[in-house]
Amino acid sequence: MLEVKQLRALYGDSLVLHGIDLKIAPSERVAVIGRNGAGKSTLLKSIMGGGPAAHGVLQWNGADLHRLKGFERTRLGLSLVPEDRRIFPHLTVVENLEIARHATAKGKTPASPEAMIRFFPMLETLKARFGNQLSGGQQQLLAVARGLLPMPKLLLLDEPTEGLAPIIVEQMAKSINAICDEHRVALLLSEQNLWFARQCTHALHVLDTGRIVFSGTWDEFDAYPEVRNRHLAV
Amino acid sequence: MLDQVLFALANGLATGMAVFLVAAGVTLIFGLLRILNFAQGSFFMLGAYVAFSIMGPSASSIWVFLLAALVSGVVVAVLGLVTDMVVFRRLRNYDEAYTLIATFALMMLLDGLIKLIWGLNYHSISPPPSLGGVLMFGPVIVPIFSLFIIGLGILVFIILEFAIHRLWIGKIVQALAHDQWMSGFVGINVPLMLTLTVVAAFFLAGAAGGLLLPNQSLSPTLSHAFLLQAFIAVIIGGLGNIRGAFMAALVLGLVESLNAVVLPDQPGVAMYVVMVAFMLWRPAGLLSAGTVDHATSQHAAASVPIDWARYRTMLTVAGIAGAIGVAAMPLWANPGTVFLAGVALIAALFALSWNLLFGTTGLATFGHAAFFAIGCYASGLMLKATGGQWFLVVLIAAALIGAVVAAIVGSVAIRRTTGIALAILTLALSEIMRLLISSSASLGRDDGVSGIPRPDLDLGFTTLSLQSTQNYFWFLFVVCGAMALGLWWLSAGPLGRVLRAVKQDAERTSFLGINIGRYRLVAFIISGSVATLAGALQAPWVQIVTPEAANYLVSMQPMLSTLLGGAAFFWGPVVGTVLFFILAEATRALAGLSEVVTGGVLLLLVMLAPDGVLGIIGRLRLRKRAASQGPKLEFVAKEARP
Ligand SMILES: Nc1ncnc2c1ncn2[C@@H]1O[C@H](COP(=O)(O)OP(=O)(O)OP(=O)(O)O)[C@@H](O)[C@H]1O
Ligand SMILES: [Mg+2]
Repeated sequence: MLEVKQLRALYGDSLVLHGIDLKIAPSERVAVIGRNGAGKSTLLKSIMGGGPAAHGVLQWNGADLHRLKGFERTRLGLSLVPEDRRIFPHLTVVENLEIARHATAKGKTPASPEAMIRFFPMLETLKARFGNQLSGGQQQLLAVARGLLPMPKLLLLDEPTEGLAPIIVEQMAKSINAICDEHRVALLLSEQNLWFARQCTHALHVLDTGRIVFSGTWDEFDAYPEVRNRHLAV
Repeated sequence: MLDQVLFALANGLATGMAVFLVAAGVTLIFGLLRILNFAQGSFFMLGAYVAFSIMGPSASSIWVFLLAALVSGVVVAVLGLVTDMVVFRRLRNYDEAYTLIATFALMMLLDGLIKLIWGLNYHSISPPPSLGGVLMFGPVIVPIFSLFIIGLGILVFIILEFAIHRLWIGKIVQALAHDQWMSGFVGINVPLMLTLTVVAAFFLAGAAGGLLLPNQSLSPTLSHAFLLQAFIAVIIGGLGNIRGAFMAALVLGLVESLNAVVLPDQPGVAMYVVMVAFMLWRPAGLLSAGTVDHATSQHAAASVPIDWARYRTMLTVAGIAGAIGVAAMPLWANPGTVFLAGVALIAALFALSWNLLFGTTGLATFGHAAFFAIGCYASGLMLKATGGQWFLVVLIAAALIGAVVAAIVGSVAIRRTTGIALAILTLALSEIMRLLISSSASLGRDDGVSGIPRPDLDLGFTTLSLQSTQNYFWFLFVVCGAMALGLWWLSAGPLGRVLRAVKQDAERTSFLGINIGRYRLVAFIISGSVATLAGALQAPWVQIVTPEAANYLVSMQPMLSTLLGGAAFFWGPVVGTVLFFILAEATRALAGLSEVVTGGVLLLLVMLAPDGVLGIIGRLRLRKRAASQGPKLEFVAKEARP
């Protein structure tokens, strides 16, 4: 479904990704793991066309993504939850969900905000609140729910657990798994929280300073502890 | 007394609502595009002219009147679509100063076109029959048309409020205004929505032009009054805030009409005073709309390093040859051309003084004409008093006055504002000055001061007469040349280096322990003082000064020249002035044509070659060199940071 080959990404003159290869099949769930500044967010943004200048093969079901604007990529079934959440402050929780309807791919039906809130019950009591009246954690949940509302074919999820309490992290993993199972949503998850990533995905890529240094299942990852020591230890 | 106040109130409300109708479009465009559109008033005026062409000086019925306004709205909306595609889209990632100058160029272009099409005549237009006449409320007389405008303003406000806060499209527009980047990722067609908003704002401007036409005198100056008032309303109300613009327009209308009652001798001043006071009170309140910085503004200057040293000899030779040619002008050119060349010398010095602020220090002021006018009046009055004696003292005194004024104004304005706020603040201050001059009897009101004598130059050992055009021209050449070299020396020296550092990265420079406020102020004082001197040189040359010297169009002159020549180059403003004068001379025959040409050229330059003529030459040479060396230079597009 998504095919990335020799992807290089630049901010201005500085090269951040040095040739990434990556494939994601329908309803496949993979994680990208790496230290701060490894380039995880840059990878996700490059796939969406959201900032860095990207070069290399970037294909979606055989179609070239480079020529499409961000909103057009969403309408092919891609959805991005950025690391800084970007909840609209002047819209209510329901409206923040509702607005993502515009990102629905052809042939898909978006979930209703209410249906989404059922997957994230902590939002239930907050429906009428404005975005700027939510705590950081609540915004994080809302951002994930918003990213899922259009029922994308691939969700790009950027460090959703950062700064969340453990109990909310657990809850979020359950919600995400439930939706992805039920609606066959594929997932590309950027994470530093290994526990959470393991809950949500089958396989992983380890990113270190813009290069993929390991790809495999979680079992394989466990079999090579030196990957962890070398590329993930701070 | 009471009926007078009530009358003023009704008048004020009508003025306020008229201003709001223009301000709404300005604030809408700013809210979404971060472009403060100088051309909005001109599009409004275009709407008025289109409506005038349809319905004539008096509409036969209210339906003809409304239909004419509707057609105006549509015509202007279509032009808005073109403007968005051709101009605004290119300006998305530009630095503020460049977008301001680009829309200003658009304004010139449009004003010029209107003059070409409709001429310079005044037309007075009466309301359609059913909206004519007056209503009597006891002793108070209120024109029905004023009530119509008040109702119209309120109606438009309610519609906009409803659309933005209640309708789904309004939610989308708000999302876009707040965070374009994320709006794209929730699937909103960002370019389409931006274009639609621009078209709506232009429709509003065009229709307002048609609807406000009666009771105005229609002439090509209609746009200026509305533009400045709309800007003030938008700024006081908070850029991008419809509700704020509405309130501010109301307040301004009332202030304006109270001004007419309380201070009938100083028309229009109170409005500017209110705005200046507001801006100094809350300089940061301007952009309080709370938006995510979705596009890092990038300097539009050339990103390709040009090795100027290679051409230094060539350019220096060309410059010296040109200077000798100019100096010899009284010997080979006719007196008319020499006179123009003298004006150009002064204009070049004026432009250099402005670019010390813009190109070197990174501050765009829009009111530099105020200094120029101070210089004109100071030297004109002093020379009349001395009968043309003590000229050097007069010049030095003028420069000192300029420095003092700059120190006072700058210690408030420069220290408290930058960017758009500074641009508008300086614009307002110079407008206040112009209004005060033109209402002051001792300064000759609108007629100004005439019969200024050409001076004698007393050098102690001998006296040179500057009576003749030839002698004064040489004097101008020497003084302007010396001042220009002085500025060049300053900008190449340690002061210039600090100023450039401040421009490039104010924050980092201040971490180095440099008091950036003080350096900016120093640059402002030098610049203001030189601009005043330029004005002081001009008064005896043209022998008359009028309040038009402080007109904001005069403030634009140095910007045009600077961008034409290249802001990044010290001598850019001089090259630009020369080109500008040649252009203006060649197109002088037709009213409006010179504005069309200059506006058009400037617009093209800002969008296609923001580094000016010198930049183009530099790049052409660079390309030739690169081609002869084989491997092509690879340009990497600079993308906006999320
Ligand atoms: N907008 C930007 N402009 C320039 N450089 C950037 C920009 N954003 C990120 N970088 C640089 O690119 C590199 C990769 O950043 P990226 O945000 O992709 O890392 P990350 O893996 O997501 O890190 P984190 O876990 O901290 O989110 C870093 O060195 C960072 O400094
Ligand atoms: Mg990141």
